[in-house]
Amino acid sequence: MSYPNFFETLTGNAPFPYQERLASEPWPELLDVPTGLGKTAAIVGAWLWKRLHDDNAPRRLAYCLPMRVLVEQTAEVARELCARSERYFEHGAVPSVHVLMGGDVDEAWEGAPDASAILVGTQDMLISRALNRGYGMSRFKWPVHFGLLHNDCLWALDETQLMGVAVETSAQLEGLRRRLGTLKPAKTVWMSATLAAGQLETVDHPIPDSGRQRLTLSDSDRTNEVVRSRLSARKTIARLEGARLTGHDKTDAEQVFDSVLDLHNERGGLTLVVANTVARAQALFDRLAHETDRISLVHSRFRPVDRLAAEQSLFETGDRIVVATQAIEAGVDISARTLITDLAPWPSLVQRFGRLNRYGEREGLIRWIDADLEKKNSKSSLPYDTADLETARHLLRDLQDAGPGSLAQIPYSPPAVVRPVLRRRDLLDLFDTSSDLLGEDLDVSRWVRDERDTDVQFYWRSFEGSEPPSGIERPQRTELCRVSIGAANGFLNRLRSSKKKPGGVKTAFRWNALEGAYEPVRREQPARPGELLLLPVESGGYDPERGWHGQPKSVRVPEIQTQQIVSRESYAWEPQTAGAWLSLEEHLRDVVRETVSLTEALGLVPEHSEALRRAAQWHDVGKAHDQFQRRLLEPVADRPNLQPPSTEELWAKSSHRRQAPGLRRYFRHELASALAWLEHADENDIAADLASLVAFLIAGHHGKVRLSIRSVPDEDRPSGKERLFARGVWHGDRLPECELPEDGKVGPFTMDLSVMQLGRGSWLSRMLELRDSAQIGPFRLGLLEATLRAADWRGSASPGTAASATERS
Amino acid sequence: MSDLRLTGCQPQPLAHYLKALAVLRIVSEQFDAEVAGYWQDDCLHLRTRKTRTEIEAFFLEHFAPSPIISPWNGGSGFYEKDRKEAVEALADSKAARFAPYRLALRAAIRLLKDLGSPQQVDKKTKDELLERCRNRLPDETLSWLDAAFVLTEDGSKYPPLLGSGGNDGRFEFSNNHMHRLVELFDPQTGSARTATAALLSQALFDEPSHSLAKIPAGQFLPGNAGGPNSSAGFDSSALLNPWDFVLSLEGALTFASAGVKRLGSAASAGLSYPFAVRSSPSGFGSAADWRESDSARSRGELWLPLWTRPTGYAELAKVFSEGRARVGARPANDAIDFAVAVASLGVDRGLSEFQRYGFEERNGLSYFATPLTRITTGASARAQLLAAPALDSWLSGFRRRLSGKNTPASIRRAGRRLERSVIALCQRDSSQQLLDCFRTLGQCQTALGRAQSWAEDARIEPLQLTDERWLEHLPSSSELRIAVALASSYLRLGSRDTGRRMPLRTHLHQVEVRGRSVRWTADDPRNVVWSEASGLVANLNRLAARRNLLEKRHGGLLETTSSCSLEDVSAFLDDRTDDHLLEQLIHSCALLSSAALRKPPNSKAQTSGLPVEAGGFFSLLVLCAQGRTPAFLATRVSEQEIALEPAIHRLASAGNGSAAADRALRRLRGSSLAPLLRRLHVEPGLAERTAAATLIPLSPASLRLIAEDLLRIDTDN
Repeated sequence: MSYPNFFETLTGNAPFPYQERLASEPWPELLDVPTGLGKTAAIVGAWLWKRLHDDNAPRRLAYCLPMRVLVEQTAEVARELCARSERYFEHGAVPSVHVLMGGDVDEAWEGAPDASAILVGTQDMLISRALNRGYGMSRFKWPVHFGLLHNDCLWALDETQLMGVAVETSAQLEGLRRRLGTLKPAKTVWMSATLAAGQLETVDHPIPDSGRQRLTLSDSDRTNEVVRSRLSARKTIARLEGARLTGHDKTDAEQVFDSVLDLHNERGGLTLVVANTVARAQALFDRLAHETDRISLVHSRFRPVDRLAAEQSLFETGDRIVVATQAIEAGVDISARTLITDLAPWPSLVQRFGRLNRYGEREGLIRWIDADLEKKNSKSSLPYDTADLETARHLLRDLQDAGPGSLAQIPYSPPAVVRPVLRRRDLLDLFDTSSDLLGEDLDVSRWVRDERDTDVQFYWRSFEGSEPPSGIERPQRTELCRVSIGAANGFLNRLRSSKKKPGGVKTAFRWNALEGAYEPVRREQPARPGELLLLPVESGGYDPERGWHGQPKSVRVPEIQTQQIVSRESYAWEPQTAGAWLSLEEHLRDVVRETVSLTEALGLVPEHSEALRRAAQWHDVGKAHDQFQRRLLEPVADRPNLQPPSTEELWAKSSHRRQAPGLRRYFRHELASALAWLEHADENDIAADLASLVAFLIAGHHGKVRLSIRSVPDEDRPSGKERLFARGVWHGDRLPECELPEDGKVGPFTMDLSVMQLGRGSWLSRMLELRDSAQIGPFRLGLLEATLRAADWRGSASPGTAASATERS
Repeated sequence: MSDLRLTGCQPQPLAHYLKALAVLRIVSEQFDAEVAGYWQDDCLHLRTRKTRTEIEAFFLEHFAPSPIISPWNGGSGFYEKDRKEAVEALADSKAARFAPYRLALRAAIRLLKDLGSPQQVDKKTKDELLERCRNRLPDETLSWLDAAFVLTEDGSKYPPLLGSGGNDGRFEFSNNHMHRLVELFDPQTGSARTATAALLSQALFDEPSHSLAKIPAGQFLPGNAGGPNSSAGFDSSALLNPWDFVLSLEGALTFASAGVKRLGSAASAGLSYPFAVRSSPSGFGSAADWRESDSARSRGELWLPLWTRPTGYAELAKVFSEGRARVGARPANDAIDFAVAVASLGVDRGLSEFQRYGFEERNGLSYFATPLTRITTGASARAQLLAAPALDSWLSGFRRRLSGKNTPASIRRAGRRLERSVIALCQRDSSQQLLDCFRTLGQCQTALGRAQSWAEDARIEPLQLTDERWLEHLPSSSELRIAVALASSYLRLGSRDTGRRMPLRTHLHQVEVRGRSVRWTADDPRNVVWSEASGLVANLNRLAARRNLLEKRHGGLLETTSSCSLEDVSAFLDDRTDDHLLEQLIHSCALLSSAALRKPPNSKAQTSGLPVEAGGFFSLLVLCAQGRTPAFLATRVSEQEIALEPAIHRLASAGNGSAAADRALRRLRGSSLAPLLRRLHVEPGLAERTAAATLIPLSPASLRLIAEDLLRIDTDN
C-alpha cells in the first residue's frame, strides 16, 4: 500500500506532492502552504500514515487553532479521515477525535496514554493545558493533560497568523522540551503562509544552524493542475467608485448599497460585503433588506444559536448577499463570487480576499471602499489605526489582481509586536499546581492569547416580579451574546433612564454564587469583563436577525428554549466509589496489572516501569488508615445488608456512598500512602532518587498532594500544640500491616510528618530535586503521573480480572 | 560538617537579613551544593563541609555576582548621560567571575541597539522595554527582573522591596551595584582589591575593619539619605561596606514576584509577592481608599521567615514562592486572610518566627524598613477561630460590603477596628488579643443592628459564632462569666413545647432566633430595649422590665443554660467589674450560639457570700425575680410559688429601694415564706444596680444559699 493510495482512500483525491512529502519525510517545523490546498488533510493523513508505519510516531496529534469555528471544521475533517482509515488499523485501534473548546471539552482521551488520538482544540484550551493550568477542567487533572500533551504528541498549529502569543509560547515549549527532556518525543509543526518569522525565534528556540526545516510547495506542486488553478485563481480588484467612508453609518450605507445591489445582480452567486464595524454592517444590512430578502448578517455580537442560523445562508446555493464584519475573516470555509470590503489593515484584507473564489472555480471580483482618512477626528477608520489603513491603501493602489499568486508578490511585513515570552523559570513554577496563600493561581492568560477578553455576555430571560427567582436555570453557551464592556454599561445606563414603556425592570442581574441569588447590576457596581448577565426579555437591546444593537426596550427579545444538557461528567475517569466492596489487596493488584500493561504498551525504560509498578503497589496503602476504614465501615455499622463480606480485610472501596460523620475533614489517603512508602524505602535502603520518584507518583495520584504538603486552614487538628498535621494525617498516626501484590507483607507504619517541614531530606527538597534533575524534569514527571492515574482509573473501572477471579475461587 | 556562625548576618536590619539569604544562595549555587542554613541566636548559621577560610577565599576569588542590570532605568549606565564606567568595565571584563554579568550586559546592549539605541527611556515604551528584557535577557538575569517588576495585563507593577523597578528616582540600584563590584574587584582580572578581604570579614562575621575609611562616605546613600527611616535601617557604618550593598541586593533576588489571578475569573491579574502584607491605607474615609492606587502611599509590611532547621537554598526559595500573596487590590480584605494563611504556612514548614518590617511604599529604597515585633507561629489555634468556615464566609461577605458607596460610616469604622484587631491577633497570639477580636465582633454586629435595613439590602445576615472553642480560649474574668450567663438566659414564651425562645440578643437588635438560625426581623421593635445612650445598669433594668412585661402578657418562663457564681455577682454589686467591658462582652457573648455557650468559662469555687451592704436587698429581689418555684423551696418550705410581681423590680430600678424591699417582703410572706428582714434603707444608685444584678442567672445552689441566708431555713432536710 502506497501513501497516494492511502490518501486517496481517505480523501477521495490523490495527494498533492507536498502532502506526499509530508508523510514520507520527518515532520518539518514550518508547513508553509497557501490556504485552500488541503493542509488539514495533509497533516491528519500523514499522521495517520505514520501511526500505521512508524512505532515511534507520536500517539497524539494536538491540532491547535485560534477559533472555535475552525475547531469545528477541522474536527469534522479529522473524524471523516479517521473513519475512512478504520480498516487499516487493528481492531479498535483507530484513532479517536476529541474536541476541546470553551463550553465543550472532551476529556475521554485523558485515561488512555497508550491510545492514538487527535485532539482538536482552541489555543485557549490546548495551550493552557500545556502550561499545566488547563481552562475549563478540574485543577486536579491539570498534570494529566500536561503530561500527555508534552510527551508522545505532535502539535500542529494552524492559522498561526491569528494566534498571537500562542506562537511564541508554543515555540518556547518546544525549546524547553528539548532542554528539559521528555519521555516520549514531542514535536511542533507551525502552519501558516504568513507567519512572522521572529515569532518562532525565542530565547530557548533559536534558529538552528541548519536553519528551520520548512516544507513549502515545490515545482512539482506548482505544476500540479489543481494547485495551479487555485494559486492562479483570478480575483480582480479595484476601488469602488463614488464611495468614501465617513464614519456615519447611515450615510455610508446609503453611499454603497446600490453599487452592492448592482454588482450582485450582475454577477449572482454569493456576494460578501465586509464592514469594519458591527454598527456599519447593521446599517448596511437594514438598507439592503429593503431591497432583497435573500440577505443575512453575520458578526460576533450574536447569540450562537442565532449566528448559526444566519450563517446557514453562506452554505446555501443561489444568489444571496451576506453582510459581515471581520468575524468572517478567518474560518468559515466559503467561496464568494463577489467581495465588497471596507478599507482595512493589510493582513485583514488578505484574509477577506481568501473568502473569494477559493477553489479557482471562476473569476472573483473585489471592490474596496475607500475611507476618508484625511479628516481629523473622523470615525471612518474605526476600529483600526489610521496608519494601518494608509499602509493598506498604499498597497492597494496599483493592485489589479488579488489572487494568491499576486498577493505573494506584495512586499508587506507585519510590524513586530512584543509579546510576553514564557521562560524556563515560569514553566518550572507552573509545574507546581498549588495556589498561592490567598488561593490565587499564576496567571497564564498572557501566554495563551493576545487580547484580553473585555466582553460581557448577556442572556435574556422572562420572569415575574422585580428580580429573577434564584431557581432560574443557569445560562447555556447558545444563548449568550458577547458585548464589549463599554457598550454593555452604556446600554445599562440608557436602560435605567429609559422613559419608553415606563415601569418594568430596568437593569441586568448578576448571579451571586455566595448568596445563591441574583442581584441587580447597579450604577456604582457596573458590569465587569467576563461577567454573565441576565437581562429581562423586555429590556431589548438585541434582535435575532441583526444581533446586538444596544437600543433599550426596543422589542421583546425572544427567549431561547434551553434544554438542560447533562454536562459531560468531568470526573468520568475518576469513578467515585465502585459498586461493590473491594479489598485493598485486590485493588492494588488491579492497578499493578493495568500499570504493567500500560508501561509495556508505552515501551517505557525499565527504571520508569519499575517506579510506576512500585507506585501502583503502594498508591492506596494509606487506605489502611483507620480514618479511611472507618469512613467505609461506620456508616453501615447498623445495616447488616450493607456489611462487607469479611471483617478481617482492609477495604479499598465500599458498596455504599453513605457519609460517616465525625471523621477528620480533608483526609487524603494518598499522603498516608506516600509516608508509608518513605518509611519502607528508608528501612529497605532503596535508592533515594527511586524512593522520591515513587513517593511523588503515589502522593500525586489524585492531583491533590504534589510538590508540597500543606495543611488546610480549617481541617481538624490534633490537640497537642506541637503535633504536625496535614490533610487529615497526623504525625504519629499508625497504619496496620498490609499485604501488597509483590512486596508482600509490609508495615505497620508510623506516619512521620516532619518531612513537611524545611530541612534536609524534606518532602519539598526531594520533589524539587526530581523537578530539577536532568534525568527527570517536569515533562517526564508529567507523563509518569498521567500513566499511574490512568492505570488507577482503569483498575477501578474493571476490578478483579479473570486471573484474580480464579485465584479467589 | 562544621557550623559556621555568620555574626554579620542578622534578622535586623533588613539589609542584613537579605545578606543572609544571599550568602546561602551564592554558596549553595557556586561553591557547596550541600550547604544548609538556619537561624540561631539571631544570626545565620551555615552547615557546610567548608571552613570559614575556604568560604572567605571563595567569595574573594571565585564568587560570580548575579547579573543585576536595569536597562529600563535612566542612570542605569546604558544611556548617554549616565555614569557608565562600571557598565563598560564589566562588559569588557575577561574575568571568569564576571562572565554572567558580561553576557547579560552584552545582551542588554544588543537589545537596546535593536531598538535604535534610544537616548533615554521613554515613559510610553517603558513597559515594552521591560517586556523585551524579560523575553530576551539570559536566564541568570530573570531572578533580578522578577524581583524588580511584574508585567501584567494592566502594565508593569513594582513589588515593594526595590522601589520602582530597581530605582527610586534619585538612586539606581543596578548601576550602584556594579560600582560597588568594581570597588571590590579589579574588573579586568577579577581579583580582589587590597581592602576587600577585610571588608568581607566585616560583612560576614562582623569583625571590625579599618578599611572603611578609604571609601568616601555618601556614595552609598541615596541622594539625601535623611528622613525618618534612615536611622532605623542601615546604620551608617554598615552602609560603608560595599559587600553589604552587593549582598543585600543579591538577597533581594529571593523575592521573586509573579502575576496571579483567581482561577476562571476575568479580573485583571495582580502582583503576587512573598510574605508581603499591606495594611489598610490610612484615611479610610471614602470608598476610594479601598481601591488600588499606585500614587497612594500605603503602609506595607514584610514578614520575613526565620527557620531553625538546616535548609538548602532551593527549598528555601520554594518556600518564598509558597509565601506569595497578592499585594494591592482590596488590601485590607486580604490582610486578615493573609495573616492567618502565613501563620499556617509557618507551622507547616517549621518557620519558627517571622521578623516584621514596616515600610512606606513608594518611598524608594525599602531597605530603610523599620523592624517591628517578631511573630511566633507556634500556636495559631486562636487565629484559627477566625478562619473557621462559617465565620470566614460571613467575614468575607461583610468585608466585601465595607467598600460600598452607601455603607454607613459606623459600619466602616467597626469593620476597620475588626481588621486591625485580627491582624494584631495574628501578630501576637494571646488570649487578650483574642478578647479584643471578640469585642470588636460584637461592635460590628451592634453597628449592623443599627443599620438594619442597609444590612438586609446588603444581604448580611446577623453574625453568629458557633465555634465551641471561643470560650475555651478567651481569658476568664468576672465580666466574661457574667456576660456568658446573661447571654445564655432566655425567655421561653408560651408553653414549654411550642413556646418561642427569646434569648438575650433579641433584645439587643431586631433579630429572631429559630433553632440554629438567626435572622433579621421586622417584629415588635419594642423588644429591642438596649440603647447605647443609656448605661449598662439602665439597659439591664430595661431588659428586666421588658421581660417581665412579656412574661405577664404571654405567660412563659425565664430559663438559662448556664449561671454565675455569687462571687461574680458580688463583684458586680460592689462595682468591682468594668461596666464598659461587661457591656461589650454582653454584646459579643450574645453572638455565641447555644452550642457555643454550652461550655462556660471556668470560675473559681464558691468561697464567700454576698457583700454585706447589698446582700439582704439583693437576696430579697433575686428570690422574687429568680426564685419562682425553686424545687427546694416548693418542697421544703412553701407550697406556693412566688408569683412574679413586676412592681418590685420597677421600684428598685427607679432607685426606690425601700419601697421595693417592702413589696418584696410582702410578696415573700404572701408565699408563706418568712424572711428575717424587716425594713431596709438602700441608696438609690445601689438600688438600681441591685435591680440590674437580679438579671444575672444564678445556679440553684447559689439560690439555695441565698434562701437559707435570708430565710434562716435549712433546706437540706
